[in-house]
Formats: sequence, structure tokens, C-alpha cells
Amino acid sequence: MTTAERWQPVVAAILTAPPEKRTEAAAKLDDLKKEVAKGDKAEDTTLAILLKGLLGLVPTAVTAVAPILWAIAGPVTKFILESSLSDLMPSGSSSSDGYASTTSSSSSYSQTQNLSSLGGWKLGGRKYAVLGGSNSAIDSIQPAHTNTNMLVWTVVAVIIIASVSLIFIGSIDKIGLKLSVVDLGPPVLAAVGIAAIAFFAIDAHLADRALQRVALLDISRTNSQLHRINNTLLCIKFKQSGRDHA
Amino acid sequence: MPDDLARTAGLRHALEILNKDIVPDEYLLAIGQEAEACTLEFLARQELISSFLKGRPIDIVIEVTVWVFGTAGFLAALIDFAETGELSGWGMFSLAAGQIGLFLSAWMYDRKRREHNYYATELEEIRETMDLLDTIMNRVNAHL
Repeated sequence: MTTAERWQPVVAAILTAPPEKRTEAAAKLDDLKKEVAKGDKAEDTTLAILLKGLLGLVPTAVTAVAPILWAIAGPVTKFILESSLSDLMPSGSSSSDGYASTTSSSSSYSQTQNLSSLGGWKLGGRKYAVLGGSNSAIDSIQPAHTNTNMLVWTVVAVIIIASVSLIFIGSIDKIGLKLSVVDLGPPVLAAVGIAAIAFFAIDAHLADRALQRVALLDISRTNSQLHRINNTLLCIKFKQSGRDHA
Repeated sequence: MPDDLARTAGLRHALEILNKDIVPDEYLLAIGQEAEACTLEFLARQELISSFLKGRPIDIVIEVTVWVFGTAGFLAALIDFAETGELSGWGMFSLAAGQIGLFLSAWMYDRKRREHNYYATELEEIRETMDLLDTIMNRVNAHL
């Protein structure tokens, strides 16, 4: 199946939307296609934002888009798909995994706004962080590990000053002043320099890996919390509908 | 962040409402929906932080280049010294290259540790708010 054929049901759903919404929906679909084309590298949050934008204009497109997105969707996108699918279902019916989302269209809209602001806030900062771009949120904070930073910069300063001194002394030596050079200076300096670079390379990497494991655990916990909240909301709605019925 | 502070204040207010003996279902529903919106936002933030910590290819390419550049500079200086017992002009040039690599490595390390600290703090704050949400949902369930 070609890409165009794959997306054909979504295009058909968009064509059923009111004319004033079609152009915008088509533009959002193009963005979604580009993100989906990245495959496993597609960002879950970006997918979620694009999906919410599309479904905000054409809610019925969810049935066509769900089979395409499900394979690469992360938890946020899956949650939006489930919510939108259950919104399409008659009141009181459950979604496939046993709970029905109770997200109303108005709260969905506010969640989209939150996700949009999050995307710009984090993704932009990261992209250019190492290249020297500014990230005011990060630049403005004082690191808690100030002592570590001071140590790092002290070691670097000592090595650089020692190297510059050595080069300077060497230059003087070369023009004939014959000043003595510490024999063990260059090898010690080089060894310390290499060790420092190795430390810089490994330490930050290991710290990030450890924090990422924590983040994954947090995500898992938040997911279960979300399911629990949804079940509670379902109970409340069930109770309300029972009371209204009575 | 002001938004986060406002949210925490709102959640604490919700907790006060839930401490009452009787809470109308409409309130429970509104609180539950707010908790759902918060949790969804936290999930998105955690996802972003997690993907951020994985590292991006362009960053890794730059970092590895700098490490190799610095290490090669120092190594070249070391070899030069081992061969002749003193640093030649080439050896000094290598040593200078090593210094530049070292400086850039230290700068990137400092930057990464700052970012790391920033996101660790943010995850911690989310965790604390999630604890509060957990308590709130327990109270909501107790009212059902």
C-alpha cells in the first residue's frame, strides 16, 4: 500500500468536514504525515499536538487515523486516540482496554494548549543548547552543584595555565635564553588533560542515563495514575447518570 | 513557574473542599477533570524530558569530535615529548589543540550538568505534585 493510499481514509474524512475547516485540516494532516514519516523517531508529544489539532477540526477522522498512528504512538498520543474514539462512541460505552475516557471536548482543547506551549518551551531550547544557543530557563538557574563546577573550572584553568607557561618557556628556550623546562611537565600535563576529557565525557553521560531511567519510572507511574483518574471519572459519571435516570 | 504555583494553590484548595463531609458530584467531577488535565500535562513534560535526556545525534557528533580533538592533541604532545625528550614546535601546537579541546569539553560538561540539574528539579517537582494529586484522588474516591 502506498503512502497516499494509506492516508486516503483520513483525506476522505476531511472532505466530509465543513468547507471552512478543510484547508486548515489539510495543512495539519500534511504536518502529521511528515512526523509519521519519521517512523520510530517521531516525537510522541509532537504527534499528540498535531493529532489534537486535526481532531479538533475533524473529530470523525480519528477512526481513519488511529490504525496508522497506533504502531508508532507513545502514551500521550495513544491516550488522545483512546479519548477521541470513546468520545465518538455512544454515552456509557467503554473503550477497548476496559475504561472509557471522560475527556470532554472543552478540556481536550485546554490540554492541547498546554501541550503546544510545552513543545515550544523545551524542544527549542534543547536543539541549540550545545551549539551555544540561549535557553533562558536554563541560563537563569543557579546550579545546585556549584562546588563541582568550581572544581571543574579550576582543573581546566590549572592545566591551561600550565600548558601556556610551558609553551612560553619553550619559546624562550628556542630563541636561546635556555631557561630550564620541567622534564615531567609535558607528559603529566597531557595525561591529566586526557583524564579530564575522559571524565567530562563519561560523567555527564552516566548522569543523564540515570536520570532518564528515573524519568521512565515517573512516566510509568503517571500512566497508571491517569488510568486511575479515568476510572474515577467514569464512576462519577456513572453515579450521576444513575441518579438522573432515577 | 507562576503557572505551576497557581496550579498547586488550586490543588490545595481542592483538597480543602474534599475535606468537607459532603461534596457534590459536580465538584468531584470538576476536580477529577482538572486532575486528569494536570496528569496529562505532566506526562507530556516527562516524555519531553526523557527524550531530551536520550541525547540528540547532532550533540553527540559535536561532543565526540571535541573529545577526540582534545585527546589527540594531548596524545600528540605526549608522543612528541617521548621521542625527543622535549617539546618541538609541533608538540606545542598539539598541546595547544589539546587545551582547546579540554576547554570545550569542560564547557559542554558544565552546560550538560546545568541542564541535567534543571530537569532533575523539574521531575522532582512533578513528582511532588503527583503525590498531591494522588491524595486528592484518594479523597475523591472516598466520597464516591
